[in-house]
Amino acid sequence: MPEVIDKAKLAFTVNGEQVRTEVAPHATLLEVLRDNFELTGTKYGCGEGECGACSVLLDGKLVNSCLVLALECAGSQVLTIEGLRINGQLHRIQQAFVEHGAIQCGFCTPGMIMATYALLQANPAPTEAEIRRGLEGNLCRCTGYRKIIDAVLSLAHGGAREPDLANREQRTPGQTLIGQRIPKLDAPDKATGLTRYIEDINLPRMLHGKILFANRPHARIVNIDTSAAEAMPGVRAVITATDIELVPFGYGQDNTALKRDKVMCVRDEVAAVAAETPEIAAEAVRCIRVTYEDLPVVTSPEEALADGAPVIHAKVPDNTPFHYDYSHGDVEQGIRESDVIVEDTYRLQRQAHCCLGTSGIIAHFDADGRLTLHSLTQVPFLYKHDLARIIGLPPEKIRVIQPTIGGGFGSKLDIHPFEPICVFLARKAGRPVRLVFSREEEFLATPTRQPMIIHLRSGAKKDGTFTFRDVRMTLDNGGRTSWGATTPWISMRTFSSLYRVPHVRQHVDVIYTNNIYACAFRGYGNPQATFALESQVDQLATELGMDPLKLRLKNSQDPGETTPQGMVLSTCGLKECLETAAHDAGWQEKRNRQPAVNRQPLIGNRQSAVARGLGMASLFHVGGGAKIYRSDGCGTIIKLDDFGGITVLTGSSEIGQGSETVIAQIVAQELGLPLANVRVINNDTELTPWDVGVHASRTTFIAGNSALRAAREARRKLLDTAATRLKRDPEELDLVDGNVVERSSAKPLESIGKIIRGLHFGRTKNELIMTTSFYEPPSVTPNEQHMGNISPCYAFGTHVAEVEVDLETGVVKVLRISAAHDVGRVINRLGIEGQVEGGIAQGMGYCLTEDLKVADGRVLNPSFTDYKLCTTTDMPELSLSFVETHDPAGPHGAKGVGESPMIPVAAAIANAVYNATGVRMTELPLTPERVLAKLKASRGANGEPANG
Amino acid sequence: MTAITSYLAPQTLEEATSLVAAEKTILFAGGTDLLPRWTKGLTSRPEAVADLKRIAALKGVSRVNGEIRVGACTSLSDIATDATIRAAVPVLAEAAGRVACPQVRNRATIGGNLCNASPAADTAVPLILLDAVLECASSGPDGIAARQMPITDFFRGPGSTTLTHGEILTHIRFEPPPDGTFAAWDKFGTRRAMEISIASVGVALRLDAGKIVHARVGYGSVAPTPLRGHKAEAVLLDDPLSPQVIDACVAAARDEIEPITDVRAGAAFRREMIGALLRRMLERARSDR
Ligand SMILES: Cc1cc2nc3c(=O)[nH]c(=O)nc-3n(C[C@H](O)[C@H](O)[C@H](O)COP(=O)(O)OP(=O)(O)OC[C@H]3O[C@@H](n4cnc5c(N)ncnc54)[C@H](O)[C@@H]3O)c2cc1C
Ligand code: FES
Ligand code: FES
Repeated sequence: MPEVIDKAKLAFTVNGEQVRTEVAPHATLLEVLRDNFELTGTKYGCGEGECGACSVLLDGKLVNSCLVLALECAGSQVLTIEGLRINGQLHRIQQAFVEHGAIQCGFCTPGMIMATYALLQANPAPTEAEIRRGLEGNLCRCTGYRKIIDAVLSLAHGGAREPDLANREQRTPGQTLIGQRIPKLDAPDKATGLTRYIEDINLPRMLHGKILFANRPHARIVNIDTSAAEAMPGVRAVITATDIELVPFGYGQDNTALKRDKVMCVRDEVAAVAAETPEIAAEAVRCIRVTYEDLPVVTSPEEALADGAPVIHAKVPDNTPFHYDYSHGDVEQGIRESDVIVEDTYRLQRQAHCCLGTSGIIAHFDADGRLTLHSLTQVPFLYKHDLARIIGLPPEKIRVIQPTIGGGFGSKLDIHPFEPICVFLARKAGRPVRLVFSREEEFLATPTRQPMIIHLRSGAKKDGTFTFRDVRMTLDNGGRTSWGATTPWISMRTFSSLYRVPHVRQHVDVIYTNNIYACAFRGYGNPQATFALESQVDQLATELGMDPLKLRLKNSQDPGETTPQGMVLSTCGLKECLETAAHDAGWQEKRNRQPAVNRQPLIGNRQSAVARGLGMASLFHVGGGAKIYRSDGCGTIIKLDDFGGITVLTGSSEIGQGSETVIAQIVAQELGLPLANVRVINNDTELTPWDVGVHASRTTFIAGNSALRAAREARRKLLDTAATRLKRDPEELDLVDGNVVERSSAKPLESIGKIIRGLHFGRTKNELIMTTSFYEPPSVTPNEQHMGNISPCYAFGTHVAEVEVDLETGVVKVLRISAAHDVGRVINRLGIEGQVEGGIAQGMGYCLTEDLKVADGRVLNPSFTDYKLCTTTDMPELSLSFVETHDPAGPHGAKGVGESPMIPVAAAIANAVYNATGVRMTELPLTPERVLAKLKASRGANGEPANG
Repeated sequence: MTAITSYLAPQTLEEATSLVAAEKTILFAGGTDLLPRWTKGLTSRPEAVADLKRIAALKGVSRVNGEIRVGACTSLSDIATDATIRAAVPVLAEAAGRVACPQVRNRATIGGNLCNASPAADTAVPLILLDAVLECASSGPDGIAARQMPITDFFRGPGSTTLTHGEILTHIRFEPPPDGTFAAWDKFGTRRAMEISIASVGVALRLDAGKIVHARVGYGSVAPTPLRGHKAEAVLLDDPLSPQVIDACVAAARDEIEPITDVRAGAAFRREMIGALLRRMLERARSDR
């Protein structure tokens, strides 16, 4: 029974206003600000002091409000993000964050801004190093911190900002929007704490859901006793698998919302509760008694394949639910033709998405039985379709509204069991239910990147020409199958088509274990493949005695080629990327000045305790979606109002990546209207046209093309109408800055609003300007042999990393990353830089610190304390270049780049470590412990004494 | 899970000592160790907490008879930026300044850092180097009963100290090291901020006529408690700071610690790191001479 707690009175000052309220003695300041005052700009990211999302000022000092008891604040002054804006004006810090592109999903933003506020109060002109220290307690998963630091630096220098086009209304008349630095349209709301994320949305009479997870990796469920939970006051619904129809779902059709007979990993959902408060729901879940009979646990693919291994899913007796085979050419011939062959095994860990906003959903039925979901899905239309089956409701009765999300990166591509569970709770309770994960639940019960073991063998001729690649991959699938099991589709494209190689063979086994499972994550199998392949390219260069840059250039494709897997490289900037990144990094000078002696630490000579090195890696990825369904299309509706306002309804969701702004730019550009006139609606399936979803770097290309076509149609209608009204030829007219102008003289003739009003009130025919478009890319669904042009264009890129390795501690410090990306064409420079910087930060984490450790099926580090994201202090200097290859099919020539920047980072760093030390790292992450062990082993081999 | 039913904010030490004499009341300072533990359900919430932060006498840094005296409720950011501490004992300022991040340092107290008794408590090692004395108070027959002890007598095991129930750590006292003392402290983690130490080490030395006349060594995160390095000190004392002595000291250090393997690092690696960090400090001391 939860005790009845007497609430205590609390009087304090919030944002200058004296307030009184009643609070439970254990309530934190964070809870009270959010629940009692609806100051939801202060965010929950972890509840443990690890992320800074809840930062506020308490009596002038920066604190984590999740680590303050509300009652401590009696008589104190609290300042939250909502208190910074005065008279509706953005505070200069908020303004700087907006203008510098320091905001992506925005979830970390209020905390970052409060930390900046405190920093600048104590030190009005901080150096970059001081800024990094000042913000070291604030995690951001999206931006890579660069733009945040830039924003603060701009303030440190007296508030003067770069005179770029950051201020979107400062354009000179008629100047193109394409390629400019455009702040995200939703940034001001995010900077001020006004944006409502899932946990900020309260529906009337809403209940709170909580799930009971199995917390044991493999067991038979003998009995579930929910009586105590049901008897608790405030509990409104308790469900177990016996209360619902168990419809299998997931890519392997091996998952159900709740589990009835058996649990197959610790995160398996066993029961759920909806109650009046989150505390009661949590307490009720604790009171559910489940009797299990433990079964032997399969902790690794090796164990799963051993003779007599326990069978996890009865319908898959060999524990191997999926195989993938791909080949082109004849590997045996390739082997015969090789002068050098290298072979190695690469081991890749679990990486957690770590969206700063945790997962959640709100389910709500109306009296007609229609279901409204506030869902974070990134594939709303497919989601409706799949969910309908699971919950037994026709899809047309489901409306999906997507609130702003606190980060996606692939995590919201699958239907997760908590989503139907919330629907079942809402149905049973007859009231709206919100279910939001704690940080610990987020680590335990949301899938990760696939752990993989990749065995790769490859060869080359003396002159460097690549001959063959032979790949065997093993995926630890965990206990259930999500879309993650299909990542080999993308891995294989890197093996087949990153550089020219005539003979390739790949065999993949996806293996059930009792570990937690994995799903889609930025790069979709490609970071793993690229780590293996680009490490091995470096190994080949060493064997051949060739410069790794020259070796890569020699094997790079040219535009117009079709790869043996059938991918048509309409444009290909790989060579330019290699050359640009190498030049930027000073490749020639620095590689030449890396003498071999650098690799031999001289014991006792402190100068040689660190070794520097330079390494590179490239990437190949789809650049405009991946046609895995029969359609990879997207719809757009454009509606012009009578004063020149534009509403763009797009099927494509915004997940913090900035697609909304890119679409608005494309449309505003076409219609000659200011960007401020454009409203993009992208988050409600009742309003928006159909789309496949946000994934595979497809949004700019596909949604952009769709928007461009709808906008062109609207433009044509406007010009035709204007021509008739003005008795001119449409060819003589143009649309610029809200007016119809004479093309030759740029002389304004009439405002666009007036033209539209003329149509509405037309004498002969009354008409609207409303256009639609459905864009289907010219890609094809691959055949059974995985051959085919899966994407309408392909992205390339090269990163060069410069590192310093401490030979006595194994610490790898990344000093600089030079990144060059073939992006087709830059549409929003600010946005694309942010994508690349953020991708690099995720790649660095993948390479150096991030590892969700699982032992005996249990997660060992489900918190930000021990699952380590890069902080501001860990980020190196970044130098970005964009290679513009103007893809003929892309909107204004653009390709997608959402995933690319994450992909080559780990390989580039590992290659740099090799260059510095002569030690080849084949397992991620490169923890000091792992690096030191290898360094010692290699020294031991040289007969040198171990140091220490 | 129990819930806190009362939050108490004593204004004086007397009040505090009498409040915490009660069975179910626990002391609360910055709350940065307590609150996460409650949230994670690692320990259940107590019935009552007594917040020490309103007691002015427990805050701040003062000099008394040549000694430096730090109130237990002084925040780590105040310690990191305090002029007296920075000038006289920069190692303590550095250790305090490298805990977590500004948000946590603004709340976390030095008393909480010690009383929480984590082997990874970053301020413990510098205080070991300083031979710090801890002053405690409890409710006694005539008001307050005071007691003091050297820091090395304070820690009992992970999360456990020699304080008795109801006893409050009030001050930490030490003599600033005389001029000419070399002191260094460093911690090892895998990030450059927000790191709980995988290993930490500190050393304080004084040489006279080429010989080491005073030596203190301390370790963190490599034993059940923060640890004084008696063996390493013994190697140093009465010898010159020669490469041989440095080697021997490093060997002694690696030998006398008892690291464990956990999710953060393996025992062998922790041993390596203690060796590597200590060696660097000693070599710096040698080149600083
Ligand atoms: C995100 C994060 C990162 C951290 N990183 C580090 C780190 O890098 N290094 C590090 O050392 N620590 C770290 N910590 C731990 C913590 O911040 C410190 O140990 C801090 O100094 C504890 O002080 P406090 O005042 O907050 O203690 P509290 O949480 O208030 O108390 C801790 C314990 O001490 C007792 N106590 C407190 N004051 C007294 C007193 N005067 N007398 C008797 N008992 C008392 C309490 O009853 C409790 O048992 C971190 C914590 C968080 C949340
Ligand atoms: S929510 Fe408070 S620090 Fe993360
Ligand atoms: S913008 Fe920082 S977490 Fe998303």
